[in-house]
Amino acid sequence: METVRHREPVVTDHEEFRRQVRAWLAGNVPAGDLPDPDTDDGFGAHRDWERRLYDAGYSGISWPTEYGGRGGDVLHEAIFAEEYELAGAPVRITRPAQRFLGPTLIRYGSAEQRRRWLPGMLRADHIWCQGFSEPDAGSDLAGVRTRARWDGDRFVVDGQKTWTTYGRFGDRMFTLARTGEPGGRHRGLSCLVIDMRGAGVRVRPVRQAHGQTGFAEVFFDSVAVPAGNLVGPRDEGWDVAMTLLSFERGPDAGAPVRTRRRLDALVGDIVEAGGSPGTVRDLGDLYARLSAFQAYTCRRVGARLAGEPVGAESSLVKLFAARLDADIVQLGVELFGDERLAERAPEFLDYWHSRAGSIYGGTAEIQRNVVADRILGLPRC
Amino acid sequence: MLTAEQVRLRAPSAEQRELAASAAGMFFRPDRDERVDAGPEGDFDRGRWTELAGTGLLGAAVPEGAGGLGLSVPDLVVLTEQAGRALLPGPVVETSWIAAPALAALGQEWAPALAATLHGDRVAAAVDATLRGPDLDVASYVVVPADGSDLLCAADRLGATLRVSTQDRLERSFRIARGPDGGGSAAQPLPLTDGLRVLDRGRLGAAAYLVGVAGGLLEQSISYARLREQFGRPIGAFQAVRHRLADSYVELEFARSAVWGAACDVAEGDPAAPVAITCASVAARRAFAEADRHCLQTHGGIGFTWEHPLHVWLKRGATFAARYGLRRDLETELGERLLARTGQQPRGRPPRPHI
Ligand SMILES: Cc1cc2nc3c(=O)[nH]c(=O)nc-3n(C[C@H](O)[C@H](O)[C@H](O)COP(=O)(O)OP(=O)(O)OC[C@H]3O[C@@H](n4cnc5c(N)ncnc54)[C@H](O)[C@@H]3O)c2cc1C
Repeated sequence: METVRHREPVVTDHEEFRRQVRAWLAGNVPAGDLPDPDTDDGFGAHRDWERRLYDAGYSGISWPTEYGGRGGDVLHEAIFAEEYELAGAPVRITRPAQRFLGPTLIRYGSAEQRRRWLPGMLRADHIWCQGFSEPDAGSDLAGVRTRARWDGDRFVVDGQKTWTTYGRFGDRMFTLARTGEPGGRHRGLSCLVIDMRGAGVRVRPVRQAHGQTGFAEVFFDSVAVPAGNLVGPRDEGWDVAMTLLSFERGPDAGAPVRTRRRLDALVGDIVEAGGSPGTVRDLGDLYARLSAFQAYTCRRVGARLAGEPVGAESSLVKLFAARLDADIVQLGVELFGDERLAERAPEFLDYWHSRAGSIYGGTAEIQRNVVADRILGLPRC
Repeated sequence: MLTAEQVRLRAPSAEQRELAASAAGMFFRPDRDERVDAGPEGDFDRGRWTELAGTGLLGAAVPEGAGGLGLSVPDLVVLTEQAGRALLPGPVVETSWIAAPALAALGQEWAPALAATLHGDRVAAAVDATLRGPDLDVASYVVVPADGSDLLCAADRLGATLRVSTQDRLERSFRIARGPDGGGSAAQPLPLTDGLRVLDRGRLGAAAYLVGVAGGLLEQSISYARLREQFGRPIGAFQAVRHRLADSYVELEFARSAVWGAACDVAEGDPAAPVAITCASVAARRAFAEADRHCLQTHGGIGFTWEHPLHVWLKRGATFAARYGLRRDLETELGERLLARTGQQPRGRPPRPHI
């Protein structure tokens, strides 16, 4: 088992922390882009970058120090996310781990599991994936069929996951599988950590609409999973999964910065093209929405700092931000036509990714259902 | 940029939640249903106005030494939102946000005028850039935005010359009319209050009120969707209805945050606060537009009747969405600002996708 020294906690003073982060990023963010993370070399370069972040103490900022984190609070994490995006630093391949897989393990994992997994997650020694969706269980997650049969001293897993982000490079999967009766819906599900490099696991990369292999299909054929890889209570994985999803959808202080960069880049193009009188109002509308997004994020970070749990509100930000981002990229296409969608254009990947915002992490329709059920208290359909 | 102080300040405190709850209790008067637009056609309801003065709302932002409650701008947002939710009539935004702080800023000489205003004995109002404002025929003081400095007009004789007619406005019980342009001789130049011009204060106050109206609309629609049954179940179980209401709620929460954030900017003395106010005004208009559309639809035929209060909310919202700037003008202003700002920066690139 790996052991880590306790790490030095972050400086308590938030503004001092911001100064440190800013200075470090200014001296360390690679000047050009790292190679494309969709290639083996590029992914390796991103792994190295993660390692540098970890060594400098900028990984798991709000995680406990005994697991390799820095013991900061929600605001430290938010400040780092803001500065990171402002600096235009590389894509983080540990994003699922940092934002939701790790926090879920911190909440539900045993002390032994946390020690075993968290440090490797932060150092990017192991790339972690989220294995929820299946071919027949997307929005209807309770329809998960991947079966984990108890075999006396271990689980034996058979089934298939799909749309697994980073699946092609994945080492560990946080999996939702059925341990109870088939067709048992929300009951009889469990969360298991599966070694994706182990026997019986096959990964088939899947090309996305833009041509890159952002996700993969993952097949399990009698995969043995030790009892110690069960996270949370057996047969009660649904609650664990819901907590995970609320972390996934929750406020991300880096997101409004990204949206601002997206909007600023578009406005820069418009200015360069000599303006576009017909779009002034559209831009004003987008600006107002960005400002509301910033204000909302600030309020949510404050609420989290005051100890409020992440709950169904996380669906609100998902809905608002996905629509705003899609509207920004759509305006780009309306103004600049199909050239905007050419593979070499800097907007190309952003355009497609922005459009996926209303699908991944639960579709917009599902988020509306969550708001209707859990916040508005409307009768269930 | 998120700072510790900002983040703490901007998570509404327990006291502010209490303030909202107690304001809601004070503003709702079951015996005086504000939600009925059948009230006196043309007359100003002095009794109700004196009652409202008694809640302290009119002088909420006036220093305690001058007879007010001495509340902060964010606190005033909390109160004003509840005022909108309760559809309070009359120049509540104009008095509490603009005229009362203006009278207080003018000093001792105007202390009697301020006292009479806070007691509800005299009415103080304001007009926006269109020179329209509520209850101008009964106002003793009217604040007028102007080039250079904004003006306070003693307007005692206005009533004689002003014709306030139900034919000139959307809603009978909200008595909007066209008023003075400040050109008269009795005009008094006004200093900034909290660093803001009159139009900015009105914009922020009206945005808070509008968020309250939108919130009230949504609350009623949720209740209705729970009760009304068709096809053997509550209509709130139909996804088409649920999703309309969820979308309205999203816009509402973001508008509420924007208004709140702008108020905090003002409280912190941020020089960019007027821009945040304009953004918040647009967000509030978006939230109302969404609620306006979806809440009427959710009510079906009953929402289209005079007896049902819904139309009063829709009208009040439409009135406030047009106060202190129309959405298209505010958006244009923001768009131009964005173009000017970006024109001075090196050309950026969109962010790289996470996955
Ligand atoms: C870029 C990307 C990355 C992803 N990464 C991951 C990952 O790492 N791990 C993972 O587990 N999953 C991942 N996903 C999968 C994602 O969570 C699912 O695609 C999503 O939950 C929808 O499921 P589905 O694709 O099966 O669509 P479906 O559920 O079949 O939905 C199809 C359409 O029907 C609508 N619909 C379905 N049910 C309802 C309903 N009850 N009411 C109204 N409308 C409904 C949906 O809203 C949608 O519009 C990723 C997806 C994308 C696009």
